[in-house]
Amino acid sequence: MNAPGNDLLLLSGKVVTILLQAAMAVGALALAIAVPALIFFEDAVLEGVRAGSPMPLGEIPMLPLIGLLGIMFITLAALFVFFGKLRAIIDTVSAGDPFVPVNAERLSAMAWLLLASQLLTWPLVALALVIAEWAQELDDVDLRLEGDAFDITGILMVLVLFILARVFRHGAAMREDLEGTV
Amino acid sequence: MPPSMDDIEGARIMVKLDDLLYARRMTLTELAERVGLTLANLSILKTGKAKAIRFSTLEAICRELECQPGDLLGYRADAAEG
Repeated sequence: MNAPGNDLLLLSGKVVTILLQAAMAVGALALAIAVPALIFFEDAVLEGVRAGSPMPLGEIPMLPLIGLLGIMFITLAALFVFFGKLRAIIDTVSAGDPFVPVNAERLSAMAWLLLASQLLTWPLVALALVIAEWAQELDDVDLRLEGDAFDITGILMVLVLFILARVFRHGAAMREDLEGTV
Repeated sequence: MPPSMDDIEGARIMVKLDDLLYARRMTLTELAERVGLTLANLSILKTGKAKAIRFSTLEAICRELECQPGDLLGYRADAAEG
């Protein structure tokens, strides 16, 4: 077994999860400010945006925009929790005791969170299309949407997480048996 | 509600290590050294908290205490709760 805290894989895993969590937190925080601001101070915000824009903006699709930002907020929050759970699992691995029931619950929760964020990409893309339509009518804007709406890697990841959750549940039970064996 | 006797797997199996040790005038520490188990693990067995016992452990205890597995383990059919 690797020495705890002296393992490059675990260390990089911890660093990456911390960085990603920080990125999600910053994004979610910005959206947590932007969405209520758009809802409650729509006129003031629009006025500011129009004044700062070098070109006429036309009719900005506010409802799709707020919806888009709202869904992005939920996705970022879900991913924040996701990476937190991943780091908690990594911590149990460094502590040398990963086969505990709580890790099975964490993996299961991670699978649900990822599934939710996967499913949310569909309304996200739909709203983005509405906004893209508006943006295309403006001069000097070349906005294109790229990527697949159906992300096979994400769906596979959800499946793998659900299966891993079961593996860990089984492993935890075996571990418990082993601990009571003399 | 505390789990009843039927809910706990293996709860009707008694470990009679205490009696055997007393009859042989041997301490738990001494037996632990002889069978090559930690005192902590042997205590788990003695207090009936063990979930399973390896054949190698059983063999070593029988060897050192000069007894049969049946002398070490018993089954309580009519175990009362508590």
